[in-house]
Amino acid sequence: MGLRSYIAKRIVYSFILLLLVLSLNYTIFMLMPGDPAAMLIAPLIQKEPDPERAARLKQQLNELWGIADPPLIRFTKYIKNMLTWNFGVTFRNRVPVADEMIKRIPFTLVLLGGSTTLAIIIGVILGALSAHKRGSKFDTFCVTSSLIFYSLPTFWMGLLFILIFYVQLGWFPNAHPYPAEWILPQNAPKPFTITTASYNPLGIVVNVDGGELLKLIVGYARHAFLPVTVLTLFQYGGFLLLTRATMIEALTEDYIVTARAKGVSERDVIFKHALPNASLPIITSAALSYGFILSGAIITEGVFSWPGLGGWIFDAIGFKDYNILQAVFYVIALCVIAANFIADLLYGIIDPRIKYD
Amino acid sequence: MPALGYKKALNLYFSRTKNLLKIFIHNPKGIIGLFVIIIFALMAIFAPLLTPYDPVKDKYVSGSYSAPVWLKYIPSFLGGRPGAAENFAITENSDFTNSLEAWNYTTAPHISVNHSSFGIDETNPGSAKITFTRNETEDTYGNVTVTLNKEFYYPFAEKPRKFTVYCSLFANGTLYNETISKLVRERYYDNATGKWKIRTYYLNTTKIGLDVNITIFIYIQRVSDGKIFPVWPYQPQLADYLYVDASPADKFPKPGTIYNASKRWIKTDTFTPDSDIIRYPGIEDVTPIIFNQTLIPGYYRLGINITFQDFKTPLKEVEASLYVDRFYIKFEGTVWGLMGTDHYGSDLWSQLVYGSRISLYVGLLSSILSVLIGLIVGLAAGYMGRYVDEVLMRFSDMLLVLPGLPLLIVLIAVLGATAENLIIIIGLLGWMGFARLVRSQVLSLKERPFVEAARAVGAGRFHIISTHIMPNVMSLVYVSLATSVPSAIVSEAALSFLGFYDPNRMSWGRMLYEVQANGAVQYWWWVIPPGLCIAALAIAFIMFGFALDEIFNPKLRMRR
Repeated sequence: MGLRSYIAKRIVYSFILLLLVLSLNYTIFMLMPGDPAAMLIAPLIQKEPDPERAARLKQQLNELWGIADPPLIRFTKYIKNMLTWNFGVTFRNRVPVADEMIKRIPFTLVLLGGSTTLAIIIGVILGALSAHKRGSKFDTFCVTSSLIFYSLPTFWMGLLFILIFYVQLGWFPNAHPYPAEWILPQNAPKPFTITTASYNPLGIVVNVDGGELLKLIVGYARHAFLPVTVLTLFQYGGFLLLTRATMIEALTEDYIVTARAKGVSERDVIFKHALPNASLPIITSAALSYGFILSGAIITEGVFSWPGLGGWIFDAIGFKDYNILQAVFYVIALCVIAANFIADLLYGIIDPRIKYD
Repeated sequence: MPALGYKKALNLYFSRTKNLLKIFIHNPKGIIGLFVIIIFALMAIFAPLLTPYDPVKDKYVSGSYSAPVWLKYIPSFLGGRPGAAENFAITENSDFTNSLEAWNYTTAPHISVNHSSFGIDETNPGSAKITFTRNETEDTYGNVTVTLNKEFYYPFAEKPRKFTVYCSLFANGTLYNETISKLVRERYYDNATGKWKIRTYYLNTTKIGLDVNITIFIYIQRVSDGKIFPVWPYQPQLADYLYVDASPADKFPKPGTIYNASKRWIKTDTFTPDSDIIRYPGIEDVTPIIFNQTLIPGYYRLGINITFQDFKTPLKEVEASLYVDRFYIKFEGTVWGLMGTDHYGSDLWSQLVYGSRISLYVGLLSSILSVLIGLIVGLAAGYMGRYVDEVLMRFSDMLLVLPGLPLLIVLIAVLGATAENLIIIIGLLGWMGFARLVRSQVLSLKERPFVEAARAVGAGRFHIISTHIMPNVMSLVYVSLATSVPSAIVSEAALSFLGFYDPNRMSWGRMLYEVQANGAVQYWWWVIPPGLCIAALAIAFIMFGFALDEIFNPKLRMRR
């Protein structure tokens, strides 16, 4: 089987997977209890109890949101909407879901993209080195520390970092992606607590002049430091252990002996001869990590009041806003499937020995 | 013959187990892991012996946000709090059981201070009785005040978090009637005309009062400089529904009239002037002023001033008595217990101890569930192959593509947050990796000669799986059981941290949820222990799993 038919097969497979995910997505949110229309009407009803008006309002809202349709029609509509990128509006603010998602994506990309990249770089380098110095104190230290950071709950690490670097030392701020004084008062986001159903970080107007670029960068960097560090520490352990395991395998191969015999420097042996050969599982794992970037980090975003997609998902669950949830889950699944697809293709480029069958 | 075979098999099994145990004992990682797991298991089992408090229901066992008491024995440059106040109460003869011993009092004309056998609470007879009497020949006397106080020693170098003064009072005496006419305006519905109308009339009410008004004033006096601090009434608004004979400008409001008579036995009440109520916005907190850092430890007086106001009824024999009972002060310290308290004043140590239960419960059961599902799916997909394999693997791909934690949250929101639902959901979403592992193992086992031989003699599919393939994947099962517990524990903690906890159980994640929800990150004794426990238990299971892995896969033993 050639490359072309392999790609075709993968595309078909990815598409089937996508449809499966879509239907699962649909089923889960169909089953979610709670009535968003009732939740929205509740404050109105409380003021002036009037069952007739309540029922009328509820029906109008359900028609507006398309909840009143029979399930099958809703399903076909849903599939069509998802494939045409039409996610509808949020139940509460009636803002287009796609617009709000696009506003939040940069925050999550900075947080998760930055930390994942850092984690991969640190994990791969340390993993390769510790495989090379297997059994040494450095190796033990790397493995133990990565195990410890891997099993520490992220929310606890976040709270601990806030305790140390914000409460005790005061070096870094504890919340938000930028200083509070940059936000115009009317748009100031409410402090994030997990108990409150929602906060609105959007429509922020940063009040810094263009000339003060340095101030802007420092402000963002200081706020991003703690969450990015937490997520990097959480993620690098997995890559370290994976790299170490595959590198131990690769370093016993004959071509490494040959390379050493040729007089190749030890650094080149590790990073030019062994690492590329050991990189296949690392690439799969990295691709999966990048695929999941958009799912955000619900917990870390919660701890640090970060207005990304993770916090949005959490709020949406609280409000039973399944327009948001369906859209976000769909986009995440799409990214993961695409990342897997790309990883499969990369295999061929990196390792020419792979046969497509 | 079968008996012998059975015995042989048993012997073989025993010797094999013995060998594995020998290897295990020489594996320090596994021993440490097992040791930590056993400690937490003992903690979970013997939780009621380790702490007398219920972690969820027992609130207000001490003041909110207390620090651990052992911080007192650590020097302050290490973050300790020597001299911090603990809980204590001044209760010596506060019930006036037999006498007025331990109390000082002043005397005044017309007033007698005695011990009375009458007790305001039924359980403890005895109270202090302060009586004002005047006979019918005398004119009204005016104000006369006596004081009843007790000296006590405040033993700590730091101020208390708060103090509460308790006092039960009961007034009794001769009465007079007073009729008050009040003009009432009322809207009423007139049936005849069918309209709303307004009518006015006089309403006469008879007010019964004591001939002699009794007012009280509870205070704390610092002995060192003699300053008096009012405890009750402290601010005019607070005593507004009573009657305060003071303008708001007065620094120390004068006593309030506490009891308006409505019956022969006038009124009994227990009230607790609490320094917390003096902490409303705009009102200064008296605690640090009274218990000034430079003047403690030191002597204080807890006292009550009783003023009889005799103005109303001249030339009548009048009598008024005030019974004082259960008069004491309670201090809430800033340190308490092994681990301090949370915002409700619940014991954090008991929360930590009981938290181990749910972590082990959810962690173990959900990992058993996920391993079981993974085993079945892996065996089926690997052995059956073809369509079964394709369907099962695509299904697991689908689950792998969805984001893990958001999916968990959505499902727990659907099903409701109970420990059992947590187990089911975490178990149902954690089998995919193990299923793949089993499948690949089965794929290679399927082609081995012993399976082919079994198939050749006509062994059924079920027989081959259960007797030839299962035993060969069991080592994977043991290892995976141990290594999938940590992720289940962390998942449970994460869900609890996000607020999806079982309301009837305390978990470590829920403790951290409370930290976050109350903005209490600065209390490190509340933040650090739960996370440390989660991490320790998770790492212990990982180490134990690695040790099992090394035992069952001798190749790894060589390599590491």
